[in-house]
Amino acid sequence: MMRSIKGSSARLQRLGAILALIVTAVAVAACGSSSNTNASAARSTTSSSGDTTSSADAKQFRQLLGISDADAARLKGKEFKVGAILPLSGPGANYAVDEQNGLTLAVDEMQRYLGMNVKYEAKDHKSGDPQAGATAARQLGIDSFGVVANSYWGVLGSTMPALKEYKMLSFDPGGGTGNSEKGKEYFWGFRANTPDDSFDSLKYFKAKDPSAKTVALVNWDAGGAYTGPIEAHLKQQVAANGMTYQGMLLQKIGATDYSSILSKLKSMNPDLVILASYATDPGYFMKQYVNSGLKAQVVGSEYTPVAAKVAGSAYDKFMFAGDFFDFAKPPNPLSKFFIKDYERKFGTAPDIFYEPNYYDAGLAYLELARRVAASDGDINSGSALNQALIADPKFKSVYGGDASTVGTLQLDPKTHDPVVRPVGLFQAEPGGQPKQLAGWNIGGGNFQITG
Amino acid sequence: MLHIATFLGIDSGRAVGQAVVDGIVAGSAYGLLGVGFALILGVTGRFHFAYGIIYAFTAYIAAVAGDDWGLPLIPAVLVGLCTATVLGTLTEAIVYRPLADRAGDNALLGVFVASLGLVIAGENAIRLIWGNDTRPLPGFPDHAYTVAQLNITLIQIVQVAAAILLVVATALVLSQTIAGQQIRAVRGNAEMAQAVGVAVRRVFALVFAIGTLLAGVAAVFAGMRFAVTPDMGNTPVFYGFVVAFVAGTQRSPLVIGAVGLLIGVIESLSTLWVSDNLSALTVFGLLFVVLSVRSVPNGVRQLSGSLSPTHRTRTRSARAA
Repeated sequence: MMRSIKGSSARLQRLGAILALIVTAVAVAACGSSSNTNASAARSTTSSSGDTTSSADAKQFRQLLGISDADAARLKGKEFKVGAILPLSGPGANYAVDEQNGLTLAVDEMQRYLGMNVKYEAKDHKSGDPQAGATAARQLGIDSFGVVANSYWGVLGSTMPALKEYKMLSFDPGGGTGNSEKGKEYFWGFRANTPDDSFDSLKYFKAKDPSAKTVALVNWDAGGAYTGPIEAHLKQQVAANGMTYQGMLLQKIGATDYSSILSKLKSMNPDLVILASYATDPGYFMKQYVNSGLKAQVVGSEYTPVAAKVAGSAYDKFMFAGDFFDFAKPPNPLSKFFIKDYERKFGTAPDIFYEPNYYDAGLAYLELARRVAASDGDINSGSALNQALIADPKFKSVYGGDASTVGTLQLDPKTHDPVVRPVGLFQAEPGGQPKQLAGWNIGGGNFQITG
Repeated sequence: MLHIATFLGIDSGRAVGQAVVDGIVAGSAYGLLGVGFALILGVTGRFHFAYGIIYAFTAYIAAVAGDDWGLPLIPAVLVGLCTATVLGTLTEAIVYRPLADRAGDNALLGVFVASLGLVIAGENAIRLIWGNDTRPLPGFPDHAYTVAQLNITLIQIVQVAAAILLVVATALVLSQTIAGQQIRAVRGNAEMAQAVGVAVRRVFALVFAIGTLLAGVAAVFAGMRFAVTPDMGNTPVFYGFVVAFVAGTQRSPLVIGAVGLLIGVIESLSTLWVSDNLSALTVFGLLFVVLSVRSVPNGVRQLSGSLSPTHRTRTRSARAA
């Protein structure tokens, strides 16, 4: 009996050792997945096969972006280093897939249609860790990258010193400049700032529902420096539209249980709730909101399929305002090309606005490289690219335009924010694409009710 | 009352009432987690930090069974709960027991480190297998009720009812069944229990099965109410600790469950004054206060002992020697 106990104990120990080995292997594979992503992303950009630079798609690509034969000849074979600082791990890792897809599509097109030799490398900021962001930026700087696609407001400002020191031109198509990184050297927002640029949506309610007078704000609790300016901007817009601002409720970033927030909202009883939260948070919020007895319209700042999945049918009552890309109705020829080429490369249709945002940024880097190459400059010099941007801050965009004209994104040389960018108010639709209710240019100009 | 409420900065009785309702709902989950964790720690001595990753796995398996395999909700949930039970038992049999057998007196630290490793590897395994996507666990009927201006949903009612039933059932198992007697015997003195013929290893496996089943129930309700994410177990496991330590790991499940409810209500009421971000601080602050208060009698005894004339004389003699 003792022998059998010892024998079974030994077997269990061996089983335990094997399990530990398997567990360790999984952990190592998972922990190494982000660096593998970096490595595989770098490798994939140099593996395009065959000469596709004279294909019909290549011609269309050059025509849409206004790249002449002379430009194409100058760019062909040139090495171009494109870096990115993305949330490759942590809760935001989902978004890194979309952001990277958009950016690497542009990189792939540079190689495929222009024959450029692009070195792409993505670094991980671990979903908003400033230390990781600063390290990532420094590493890209040491490796002499001239352009870096950023995220999370330049990873909450932590990448600014390295961008300046190593003179790396950085666009943030994910978060924009936010309220704290405006006008920073070498750093430019490449999308509407949310939630601030969405507050013009109040004009819609003023016109369509004059009885809606009181407004409450539910905001991410990311500190006073973050929440203060947002609240101030909303108060201005509320006053400008003859409404009353009731107050701000702070929610934990990544919260899933909104019981206390909803209870406080009930006490406030607003006519409108502005929801300044992102990622999956709006999905959790709406899922509980619809059962709370509150009837006020909720206006969020973005729409993502993953939040819609969390909320289920509760999202049918959700409105949102921002620079949303309508995949069902691509607005201009470049948008249609983007969708077609995305399907070619990834075998699936794009479905979240980060993809066209980062694609736009990638094309903007190409445009700047074209301008610098035209003046015999170094296309990997961040300062040369930055100067080219300041000289002419207009870029082709998948947003805006019309059926025959490619859209335009224009940046402000002072604030480094977009000043030409279509923004809108949308109603989430059951099981389908959101429907646009109103549109305006960033800053509120040319406001039109469309739905 | 209105003056008191105003003085305390509370807008209305409705807000307090709603906070109590929300607190009971949250506390029902905390109670389940606390009972499970206390049972495991109290009987086996294992600091089962991997409780949280098994919580997440349960919800994931239920979501996959429902979503990918097309099972209706109840069978999908049962599949998830069976998984929890098996995983919990396997963790004890394959990971903790061999480590504890070899580590001897240092078993607590070894098991804790191993469980930390399981959490890290487990969360990454979930991400590798199912991706980083949030998954819903749909299928539960969506009904909301308003009683005296207080809101509650059907799923919240069912969660509280299920938690109470399970805690009572656990208490009955421990007090009325032979297996329960054996569990209590091992909890009291494992060596003595083994000497009288109780199969301690089997009791440990049973305790892990019961404990993780309770966590699994909390997990599937969380998945149905909110969503299923790879890191969803990280916070609940801490609440399980707090409830178990505040109530006492040797106490009856009824007491531990009641403490869970109380902690849920205190946390929810605290949000009437502080930001949601700080509600967890309230809970851990409570743990600190309770542990400090519990240690006061021992501290007083030691202090009074060291100040007694007999002790001083003995100490002086010892020094002189």
